[in-house]
Amino acid sequence: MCRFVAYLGEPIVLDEMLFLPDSSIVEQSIHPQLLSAMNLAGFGVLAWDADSADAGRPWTYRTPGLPFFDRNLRSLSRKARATALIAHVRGVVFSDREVVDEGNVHPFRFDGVPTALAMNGDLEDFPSMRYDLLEHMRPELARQIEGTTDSEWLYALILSLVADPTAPADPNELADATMRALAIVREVRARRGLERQSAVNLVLSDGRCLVATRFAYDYGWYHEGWTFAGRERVNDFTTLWFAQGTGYACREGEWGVGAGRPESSIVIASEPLTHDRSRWLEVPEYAMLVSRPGRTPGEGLVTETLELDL
Amino acid sequence: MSPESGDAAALLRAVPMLEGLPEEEIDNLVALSEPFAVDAGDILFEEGDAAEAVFIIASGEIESLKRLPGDRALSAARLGPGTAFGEIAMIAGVPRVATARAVTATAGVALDARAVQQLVAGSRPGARELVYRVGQEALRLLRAIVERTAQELDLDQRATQPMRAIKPAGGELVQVEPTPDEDAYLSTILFFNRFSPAQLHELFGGLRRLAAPRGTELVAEGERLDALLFVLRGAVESTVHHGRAAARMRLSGPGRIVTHLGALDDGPCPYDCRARERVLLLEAPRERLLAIRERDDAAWRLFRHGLYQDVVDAIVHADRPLTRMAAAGDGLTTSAG
Repeated sequence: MCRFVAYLGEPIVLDEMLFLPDSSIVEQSIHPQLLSAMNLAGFGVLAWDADSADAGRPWTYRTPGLPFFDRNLRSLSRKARATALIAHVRGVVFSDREVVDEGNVHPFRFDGVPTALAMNGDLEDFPSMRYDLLEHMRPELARQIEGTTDSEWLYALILSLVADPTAPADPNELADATMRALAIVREVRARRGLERQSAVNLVLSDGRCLVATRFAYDYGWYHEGWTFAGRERVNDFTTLWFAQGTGYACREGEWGVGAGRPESSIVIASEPLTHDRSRWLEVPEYAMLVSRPGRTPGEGLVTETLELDL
Repeated sequence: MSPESGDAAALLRAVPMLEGLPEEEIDNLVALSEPFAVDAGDILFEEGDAAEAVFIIASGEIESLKRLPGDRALSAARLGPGTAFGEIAMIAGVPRVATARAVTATAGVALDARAVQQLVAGSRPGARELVYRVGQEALRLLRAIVERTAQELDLDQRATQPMRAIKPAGGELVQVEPTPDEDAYLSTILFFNRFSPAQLHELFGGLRRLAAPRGTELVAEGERLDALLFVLRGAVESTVHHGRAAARMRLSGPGRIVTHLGALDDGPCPYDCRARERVLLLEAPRERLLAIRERDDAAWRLFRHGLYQDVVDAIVHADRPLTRMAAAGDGLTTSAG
């Protein structure tokens, strides 16, 4: 299982999300609070800076290595600014069947496509259903799949369901495409007789909006022989949290969003970036968050919660 | 002013939850009590802290708060003289579910949580009765949260629209036989993993297993229940309705209990319960549950403890729609202090 964090809002320095909070995303690679397994199969960050050259294009840093040993990442993160980002630490089963390489590191973003995706989840027996998804995909997108993850296939599937994947994302259309993709996967699973719990927590962004899901197929029907450690048992519906407010910063020693209106920043994460979870809200199960700038600056960020009634 | 021991005894006797308990139990609690006094604005404990004490207010006022992003908070309750608080997290052995802040200068007595836990672990009928009453207090709190959520629903359509229940389906609840591997499976899920195979048979042997497809309505809002439903596989959602609005109060997966309210207290079920996924349930009839108050062997002690932990988990989840509503608008919020 993986962990991700996504951000949209006032400019931040990457360090403030990747390293500095007491349960930062890099810390979550070895010490996640709501998960027992470590996330050692790679780290990736994709960040947009509205004041940079070619602002619609994010820069990317992806490595199959361990982020806490990565001096280049630490050094960059102290200088680089972002108005939106997705960062991800990948966790896989400790097995020689897993492919740990750069091609499988999240977030995924195809050439010429402004929207990126990261996932925290795992589709049961994905190899048996993978090619059933092809009929729903645009060939030019399917051809860009480089890795072996279910996440990258879902990314190609969602993009295939929007009218023009090369255009900046329309939040409503992206949300709708994500729901339709999840419905297609449900049909394929039914056809293949796959009926064990499979979490699909996704986050998508083009740097101007965020779409995130907290979703699972067949929740409560565990895999045979699935032995939980204590924290997974309590958090067996893969978690997703968020905090929305004014600028993200450290106040009285605690990282988080500030008070006041209009709300200008949102952080969405597999688990809170701070040990104190009381200033974060849990996203409901079977729900989707859609966050975008309001129609006027006075509106700030507008975030809707939608039921995934699939 | 801090109460002396005579005052402490009078204070404890006046707490409704302790009314009518044997003198011996009150004396035991008095022996554990220490005076406390705080100034207006002081924090007694924070959400997430370990539950180290139970407090009883002699004078003053305490506000129970749920923190929100952006240094705001939802006021969950205001507690005055004669009220006990902090006892639910203590009995269930879970961290604090809210922050307690003094509204005015407040004094009373505090009971060390570990000492109280040792006290109630004894086999005296009075100790069992005390645990039972704390459990009933937790159920009252859960019901109050559900009722408050229902009242607030009309005020915040923005927060409620996304939490509607899934579309009803015409499924049916049918009795099924336990599978041969059931004991092994139960040893891996919440609640049941605390029991030995012999205890599982003693507590749950002969009870009905029920199966239903996704979308099946299991309990209607307002229905009076005569059984607790334990989820073995799949998931059940409990949804409260008010007018056209609805909010999911809890999603209960394997090892969670669905119908505390109605089966364990005297009111009707305040929400409807529907199979969110296809589901396999264990049904514990009300007459079997009467032993919660009477029996004192190891299996029933474990049962009680697991039950109260699950009620507290239900309280934590039931709080979520209100906190989301509060975070989305200013109407319910207060400064966190």
